[in-house]
This record gives sequence, structure tokens and C-alpha cells, in this order.
Amino acid sequence: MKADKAVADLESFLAERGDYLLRTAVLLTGSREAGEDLLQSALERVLKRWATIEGNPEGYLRRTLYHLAADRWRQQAALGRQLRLLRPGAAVVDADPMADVDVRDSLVRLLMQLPKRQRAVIVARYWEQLSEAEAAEALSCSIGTVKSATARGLSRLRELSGSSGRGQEDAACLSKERMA
Amino acid sequence: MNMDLEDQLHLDMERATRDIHVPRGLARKADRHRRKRQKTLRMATAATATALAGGVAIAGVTGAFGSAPASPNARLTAYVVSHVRSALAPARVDDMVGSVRTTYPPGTTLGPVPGGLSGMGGASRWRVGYDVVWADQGTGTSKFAGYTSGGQLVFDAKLTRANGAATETAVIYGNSTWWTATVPMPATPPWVGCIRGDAVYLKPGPDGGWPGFIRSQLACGAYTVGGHQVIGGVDTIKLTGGPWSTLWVDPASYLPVQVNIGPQHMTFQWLPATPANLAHLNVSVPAGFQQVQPPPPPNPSPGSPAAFSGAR
Repeated sequence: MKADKAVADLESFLAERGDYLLRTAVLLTGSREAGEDLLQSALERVLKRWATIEGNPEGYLRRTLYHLAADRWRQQAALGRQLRLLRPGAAVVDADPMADVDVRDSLVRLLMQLPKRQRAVIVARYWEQLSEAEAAEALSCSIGTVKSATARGLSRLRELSGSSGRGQEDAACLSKERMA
Repeated sequence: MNMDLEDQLHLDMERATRDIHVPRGLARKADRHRRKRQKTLRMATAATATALAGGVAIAGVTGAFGSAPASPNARLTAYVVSHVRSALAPARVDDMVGSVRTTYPPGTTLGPVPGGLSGMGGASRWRVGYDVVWADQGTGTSKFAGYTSGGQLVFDAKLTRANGAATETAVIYGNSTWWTATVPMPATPPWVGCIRGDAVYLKPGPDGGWPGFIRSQLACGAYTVGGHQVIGGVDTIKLTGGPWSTLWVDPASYLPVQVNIGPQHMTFQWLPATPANLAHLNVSVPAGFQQVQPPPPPNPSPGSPAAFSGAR
């Protein structure tokens, strides 16, 4: 069947590139399980569009990963509100989202403190080593926005290495109307 | 640009994720999930259409109270009950994570015991206002979290089942202790029947937990459609089951939204069993907590008001 072939093709693709994509998803989300969840959702989208994807699905899958990650940041804010309703005022110590990821390397922990869109740009540029143009395509924003978000993200990382605080969001990347 | 920082970033990201590997069969899992979601969407669309049609019937039934003699809602009740039982069948809920929040009457005490949760007249010393139980319906793994009525977390307990045994790890925040224990699971449920009061026993295993309990109560035939009511923003179908129980179900999915049993009110959430949702079942022991001996396991009896919730 066509669908079975699509799944088999995708499994073969994942055998080659799955680890790398999952690592990207983990860096975007901050935890292994959320990363797996994100990659699975992206695969569902790819399967839905399989017939229209020509050649290597990695580009489509990567864009979908970034866009879904942005969707989830919004959903997490809503879920957070819901959980607070379920556990109002509870002295709950939230699990460390990076508990299952090796974070002996402090820059990765600091990366998780960046505003999420800056984090996405940093992951695209310095983990995936995409060019500014490729990162702009994956993030559905302009090259100028990638440049400025990168500069702000790096600057913030330098600040965070020595102090604490919050940076500014780069709302122009992965804005709602650009979602896949 | 500071090249050192960029290089260090890449190196750190490489190191931090080097042990991460994609699980086998993820594409197949994604495909199953996608198909199931499509099917659910189709069913929800059909159910909404049915519910809209049924809404007329329900409104008719509601409007008929007090005006029509012996409202003929038996067919509607049979239809709704059958759909609720089907929605709660193991094949339908086994890949869901369920969350149940139970609100207790003032003065209720509960506590984790090996194999579940015990209290309401038992030896438990922890006063709770409500608890939240997360359950992986597929594996039967559960987490109980007890809270004061003010929302202070009192205890967390995770229960897993394997090879005929139940292993429970409990963290008691009230006295900064924790314990773990493994006890044999009962071969057959000590008691499951049609309730005639507020005692609830949730049997473990297939067709157990709240889904199994509600299915068993619906099979008793005591529930009838009693109109509709907005609960938590959902225009639910209300099923009344005698003086001690009322059930509200979502007309789109036919899954329970709330059940009241005696003075206890349970509200439900039904979520797909994604890794993120399964993470709600995690329990961790805070640093500095002291490990202690577990309390003795309970001895539930059908007649007692003790609510031993070997729940999932």
C-alpha cells in the first residue's frame, strides 16, 4: 500500500538522519521526551504530505520541527495556566526540563534561558550550522531578522555567563501567520 | 563575532545530545497516531452531528419533566450509555493518559500505602482536600498526588505493575520522607459491583481503573439521561445514577467529564499518551528526604466506607 511504503521510506530516512533531527528537537524543546514528541508530530505532518514531497524530506521536516516548536511554546503557556488551575498554590517542584540531557556543558543550560525564538535561531545557526539564508528559510523569516536575533542571542549568552536576567523576544521569526 | 563562543556552543550542543538516539519505529508510531487522529476527527464530526440531533431529544426529555407522563428516554439512555461504555473500552483508552481530580469532603484523610492509596476512616494521617491521579491507561502505571484544600502538595506516589506485583514509591512532603514497596497484586478483584453508597474500589489490570469502574456501573443499568449541563465549558450530557451518583459526559467523545459519587466529585481529563503527557506520571524524591519503612498494606472490604483506590 502507498501509506505503508511512505512509512517504510520514512523509517529508512530516520535510520540515516533520525538521531540528528531528534537532537535538534531536544535542543529546541529542552528535554528528550518533549523532543521525541515534537519529532513524532513533525513526522505525522510529513506523512500527511508525503505524496507532495519531492526528493529528500529533510528540509520539509526541519521547517516543520521549527514551526511546531513555536506552536508548542504557545500551547505550553496555555497548559501552564491549566496546570496551575489543577494545582493551585501547590508547593510543586517542577522537574528540571534538562534533567535527561547531559548539561555538564553550561552553554547548553544557558541556551535554555534564552527567549525561545532566539534559542531557535541559535540552534539553527550553531547546531545545524545553517547559513543565515538557510536559517531564514527554516524559520520563515528574513535574513535580517536571523542576523539580529543571532546577535542578540549570542550577546545574551555572554551576559548570562556572568549575570542573570531576561532577553527580548524576536517576534518576527516564526510568527503565527507564517506557521506551516 | 566571537568565534570562540560559536565554536563552544556547537561543541556543547554536540556533547549534550550525543547519547540521544531516535527510537525504533517512530515513523510507524507517527503513522498510527495520525490515522487514529483522523479517525477520531471523523468520529467527532459524526458524533457532533448525532449530538446535535440528540440535543433535540435531550432538550425534549428535559422539557418533558413534569409535563409528560413517563418520558420515553429509555432509547436515548441506551444509546448514550452504549457510546460511553464503548468510549471507555480498553481498546479505546489504552493509549490515553487520564487525569482525575477528586475533591473530598472536609476532614478527609488519605495516604499512600503499598499498592495504592488508603484512607477515609483508615489510619492515614494526611488531611487532603483533593487529589489528582494521573494514569497511563495502557500500562496501568499511576501517580497519585494529594493536596490540602489550599493546594499544598501533601504526597506523591507512583504505582507500577509488572509480573503480578505492584511497586509503589511514595514521597511524603508533610514529614520529608519517602518509601518504596512491592506487594503482590490480588489475582482477582476483592470486590467490584454496583455501588450503593460512596465506597469506590478501582480494580487494577485490563478494563480497570476509572474507565472500568464507570463501565461496570453503567452495566448495572441504574443510569438514565437527565438532560444536559455545562461543566467546565462543555455542554455535557448528564446521566443520573440514583441518589449517590451522577455522571456528565462529553457529547463529542462520550468520555466522562465529571462524576459525583456521594460527597466526592471527580473531574476528568483524557490526553493522548505522548511522552510529554506521560511525564505527568513521574515522581522524584527531593534531596534530603529520608527513606523510611512503608506502612502496612490495607485490607479493603466491600462493606466498609474505606476507599482503597488501587487506582489507575
